[in-house]
Amino acid sequence: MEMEHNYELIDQYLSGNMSVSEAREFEWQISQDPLLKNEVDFQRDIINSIREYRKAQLKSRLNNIKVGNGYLSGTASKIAASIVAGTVITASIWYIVNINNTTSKEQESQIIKTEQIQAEQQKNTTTQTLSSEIVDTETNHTQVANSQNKKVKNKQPILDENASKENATAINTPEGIHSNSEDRELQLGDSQLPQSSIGNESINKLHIDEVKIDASNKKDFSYKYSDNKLYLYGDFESKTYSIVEYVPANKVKQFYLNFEGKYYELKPNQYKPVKLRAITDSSTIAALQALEKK
Amino acid sequence: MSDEEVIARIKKGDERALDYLYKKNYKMMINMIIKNNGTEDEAKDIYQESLIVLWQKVISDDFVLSSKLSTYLYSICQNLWRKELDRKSKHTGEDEINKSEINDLDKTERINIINKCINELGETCKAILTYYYFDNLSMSDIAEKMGFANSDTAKTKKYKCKQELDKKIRTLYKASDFLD
Repeated sequence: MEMEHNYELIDQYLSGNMSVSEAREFEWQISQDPLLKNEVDFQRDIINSIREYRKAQLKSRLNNIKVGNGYLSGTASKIAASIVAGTVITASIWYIVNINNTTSKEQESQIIKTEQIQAEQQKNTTTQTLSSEIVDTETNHTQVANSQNKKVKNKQPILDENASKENATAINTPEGIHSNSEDRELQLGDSQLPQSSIGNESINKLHIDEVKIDASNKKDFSYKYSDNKLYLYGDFESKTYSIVEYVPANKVKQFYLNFEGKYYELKPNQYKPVKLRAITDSSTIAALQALEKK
Repeated sequence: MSDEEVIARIKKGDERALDYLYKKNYKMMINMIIKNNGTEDEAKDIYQESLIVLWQKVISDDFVLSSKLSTYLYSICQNLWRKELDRKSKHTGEDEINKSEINDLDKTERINIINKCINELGETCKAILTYYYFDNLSMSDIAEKMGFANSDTAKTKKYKCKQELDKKIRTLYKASDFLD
């Protein structure tokens, strides 16, 4: 009977179900009774272990939850395509995965600035061997992407503006991004892509989650970035375009727009619309063309 | 889910509330740690620990939420990461650790025995005991969660499970000469 009485008291004491005065009284009893103290210590170990067991259980539960790494967490996975480091992709939908894409916006803009400076210095460097690869997490979606490609391919690209002969060099047919005519918005995949497909991305913080088209004013041939989205203003709905990710030898990533046979630099830190300007640096053009031929 | 709803669910031992919080705040917490010199793995580990600390705080009787739940979680996460950085900078020498480990060898072995016995319990017993001792659930909450007729059934089961566990542990202690 005594034992049972103690069991109840110890249990209440250790699970915090005693009032402060009751606990104080019980602690006094413990101090006077070595056997009781032994029993309390014994029970304390057990209860603590039960708690640890539960903690481990909860932790493993959390550990099994898949959360997209970084910016796109929570975004519904629609179409996922990734670009491996040092890769160019001209498919309709694309997305760049980045192990370290967890920096804040402020940090990113700083990184972008330094990247830009580095990119300027690297313009004349030769390109490394690049290969393109699409990682798809959902086959169905890739099929959607493919069918979109076909649709765009059939459209006749129209040359416009003062294309210099040098820049107008024929390149392989660009597979354009065609946006949904209703919402003019492309849903890009989330970031749940196998990390093994990601190369040494640590420097390449720059990425674009989504491309948005504003074709309301066809003469407004400009672009801007906002929130990792690239906004293109102009007639990008009826004509094909592609976005090329160029990673020169030093692995500082840079984006270029290929539109109507010309390349336009998409400088990363443009948060207000800027006119798209065709690049004239012949070595960069050659590198980009070589990339797209692959 | 509102903060109040999340808290109410946690108090009832609903793990889905934890899942929800985990996903919702993942980006912010992981970023914070990575920005403060943590690796992604460390960030994940500390963030998970923080959620469990939050869970424990919420289920304690005197819990009062004085800010947004995410702000609260953020501060827990920050504290834990600070402690971890502290620990990392102090524990460069291995000697110190070994010393305390040797002193606690008996204790470690005793805890091992307890853990072994907990693992050998049936799933129902494990659930009842963890809900009672960790989640602080009342007997009627446990009865509801486990589908028992009433809180008395839960109380009896809890008592039996605890007796079974104690008995197992005592037997193994005896075999290892831990009991006089």
